[in-house]
Amino acid sequence: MPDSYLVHVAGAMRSYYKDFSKYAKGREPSQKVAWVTSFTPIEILDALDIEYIYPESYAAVIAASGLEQPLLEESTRQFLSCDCCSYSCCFEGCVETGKGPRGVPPRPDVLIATNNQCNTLPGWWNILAKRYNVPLIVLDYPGEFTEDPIARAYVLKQHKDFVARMEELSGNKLDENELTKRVENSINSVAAWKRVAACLKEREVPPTLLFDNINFLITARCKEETALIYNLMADEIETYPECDKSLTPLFWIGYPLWYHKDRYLTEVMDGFRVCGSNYITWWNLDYEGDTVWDKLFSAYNNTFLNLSQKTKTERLSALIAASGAKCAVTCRNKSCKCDYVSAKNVGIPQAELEVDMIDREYMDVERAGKLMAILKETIG
Amino acid sequence: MSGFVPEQIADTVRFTGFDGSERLSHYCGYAADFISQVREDSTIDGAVFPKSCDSSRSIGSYIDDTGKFIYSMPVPAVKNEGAVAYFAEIIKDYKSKIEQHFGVSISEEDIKARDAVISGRNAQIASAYAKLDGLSYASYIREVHASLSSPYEFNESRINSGNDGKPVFLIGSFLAGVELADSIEKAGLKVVADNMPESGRLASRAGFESSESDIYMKIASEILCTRPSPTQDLFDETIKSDIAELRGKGCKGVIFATQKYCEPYDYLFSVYKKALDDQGIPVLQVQMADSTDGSGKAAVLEAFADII
Amino acid sequence: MSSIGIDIGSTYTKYCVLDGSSIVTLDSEKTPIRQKEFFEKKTAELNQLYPGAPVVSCGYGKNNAGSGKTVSELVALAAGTGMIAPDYNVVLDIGGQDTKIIVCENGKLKEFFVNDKCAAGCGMFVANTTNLLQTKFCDISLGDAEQPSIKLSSTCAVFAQSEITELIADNAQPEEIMRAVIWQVLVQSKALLGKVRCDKILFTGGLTQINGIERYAASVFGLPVTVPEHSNYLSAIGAAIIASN
Repeated sequence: MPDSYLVHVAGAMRSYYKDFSKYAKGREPSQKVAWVTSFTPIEILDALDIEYIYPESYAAVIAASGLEQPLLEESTRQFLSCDCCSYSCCFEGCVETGKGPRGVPPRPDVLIATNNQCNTLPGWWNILAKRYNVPLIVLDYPGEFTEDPIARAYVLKQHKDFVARMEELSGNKLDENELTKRVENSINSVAAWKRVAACLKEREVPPTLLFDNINFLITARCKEETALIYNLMADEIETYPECDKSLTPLFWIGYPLWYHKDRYLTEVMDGFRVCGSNYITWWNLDYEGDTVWDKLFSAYNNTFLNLSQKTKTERLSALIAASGAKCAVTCRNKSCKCDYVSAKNVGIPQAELEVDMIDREYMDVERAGKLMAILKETIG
Repeated sequence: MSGFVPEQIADTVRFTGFDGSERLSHYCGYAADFISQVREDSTIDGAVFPKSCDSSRSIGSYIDDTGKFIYSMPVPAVKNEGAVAYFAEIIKDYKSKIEQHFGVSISEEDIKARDAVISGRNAQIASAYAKLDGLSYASYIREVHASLSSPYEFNESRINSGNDGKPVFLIGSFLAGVELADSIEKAGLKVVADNMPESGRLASRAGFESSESDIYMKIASEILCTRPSPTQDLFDETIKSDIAELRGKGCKGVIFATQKYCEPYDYLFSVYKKALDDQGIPVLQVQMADSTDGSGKAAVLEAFADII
Repeated sequence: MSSIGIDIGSTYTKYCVLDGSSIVTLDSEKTPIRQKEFFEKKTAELNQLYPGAPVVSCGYGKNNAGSGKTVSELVALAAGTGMIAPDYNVVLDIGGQDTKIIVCENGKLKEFFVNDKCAAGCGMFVANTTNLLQTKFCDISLGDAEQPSIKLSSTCAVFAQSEITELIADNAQPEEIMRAVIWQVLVQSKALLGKVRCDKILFTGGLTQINGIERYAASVFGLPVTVPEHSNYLSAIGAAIIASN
């Protein structure tokens, strides 16, 4: 019987959630625990046998479980402005109340934030540091805003200092061969994911499948199993029937709507089919360079939201052109002003929808429907 | 924009507010007005701003079509030796980009001379800051704002003396809407200490002793290693030193005055408020819509004066 | 062969009858509350006057105009622009409830952006202010194109209302208050303009009836602004064009 990716997905999920309170039932983690942001160089942590947990991802899971509203309200009671990123508000409510679909994550021994996707995350991590009274490490990635030699030297120094601190925390010594292996795994995971994502253009693949399963590229990209999961998934979905060409191909610009059962607005998209998404390319990190340190610099300094507007526009335009999309939905995400601005000058008709990726109460579905109807008439 | 941009490199006009027409949803109005001024004011040849918060890191995207000199300054999120050395390189890069764009030459002597002027001004601000309980805060802040642009002259004799009022501590983002300071005084309150970027934080640079012989390292360390901004991710340090200062100066309460959609201050507020609550210190949160919004807060300020 | 376009707006309904590519008649009246009944009668009347003429409706109440075809008012606006002002690609329409900007080419809609969340950016703000000032819309005259001496500090129409009440109590000139409100509405629209590339703007919608609005808007936007002939009827004209195709 052919190996199905679903079996491996189940195993990966069990492994990731094993120390969450619902499953741990009071058992302490066997490793040191780091809470990290989505573009943290986790290859270093993995090589040092440190467990890493993603609060952003858990906020998405909370919304997907329909539990975000009371937690968002709780965060307001904790004086966190509802103008702040809903990931942080939702998660703050979770750790304050101890409630979540899988309980709460294991207590952190260290908090690691990066600013290569936004500047909100370090701010959020600061309030976690106050709550848990543990060290906070902020990794500063200059992005395309700084000339390469300066940025490279700065990031390299930070990575080396980071290694030293994580060695101290874990009691382990970093073996560069182990680190190199994990970087290779990440490269393989990205390559395998690209196979999966490529199917969206021509095959009858529900975007939901991609929005949900990119999770492993985010939370487990340096684990060997991730490439296996994605290659098996690609093997399967490459055999899916061809997509319905009578539907208008549409590019989804922005975050998935985590609270939605389909992760995007299926109820107003009659006549359209999603043929591309920029979100599913964000973790296609570019591990370029001769040494493992060069690769880590290349991958984590040059994340999409850390690029200049010019480069972002070029890349997004190229993605849209490659997808064959005739139009776009642009998610004006209340929680992420950094993402929204990347959608300037996309060159195709777009319906701008006011959304929040966590808070289902934010969206006016009727209004969205009207804008999609106008978009349909625009395309003709 | 911002105290993170080194004033020593070139004569800059410090952004203090503009009645702009840019309206960006869920985006800091102060940054939107900065964008407006760059776009609409023909006397402005360029813009330099920090990459230190979500609004400021996006500014470039809204002005990159103006053809003006644009420099997004990546300010280190941390404060350590490596960050200082890196920031020194950034400052050098900033200098060389100005030279390239405007076809000028900026010597080290120019920078050192300007540094001496800036240090002198900071010392005068610090001296006035130490005497805030005798000064009108509104008058003081206006004098500070005037001194943030060339010729960087701060004159304490131009500051009016203050009236009596209940002593309070002010913390927040740049007070572009200076009318708020007038309203604070009219409400019977008196700002005797603050953690404002152009006042308490700037004054802390005067006391900073740098052992650096390299001028760029000296400037970088002065900017990064003095009283931190919330964007430098040192909330604990900020809260501890603010509470110590406000207690030391007998403040009866705190006014937390920020721009709406300013996420670094929003995150800080959530822990700052709890710390003040634990200490029994009343706090009033006031939010401004943009850089010209400083009025309309009289009612809440009066109510706050009543309760402290 | 005649064709009929009906644009059922939030405040006014506009009608256009075309004969080929010539405008036979343009008419408008206040949009009633009981729309279904009213438009059943209206379309019957129009059928009598213009037997066999196809009818296309657009606008908020388009589904109440009988069993004829409906189109989005933006598609209709593009079609109308193609006929009345074919040299213009960018149209700003400030309506009673929302503000729209469209990019069109040869009468076809290419791009659109809508602001319907902010009352401070649409005609309703102006209409509410005329009530407060006890003036009539048709009596508004903007005079010169200079920025008004009053600057409303509230960007929110709800809060601005109390500010206007205070200004009235302070004996501020009603004309200056109105200029300040219209300035604010135009400034709010500027955010939409920033989304498209343009070097000139075609301005349509209810506000275009105001005396002096062209120069005033040009002053706000920093771009040439033209209010076309039949500026309030472009969507109705466009609907009639679509009906004739």
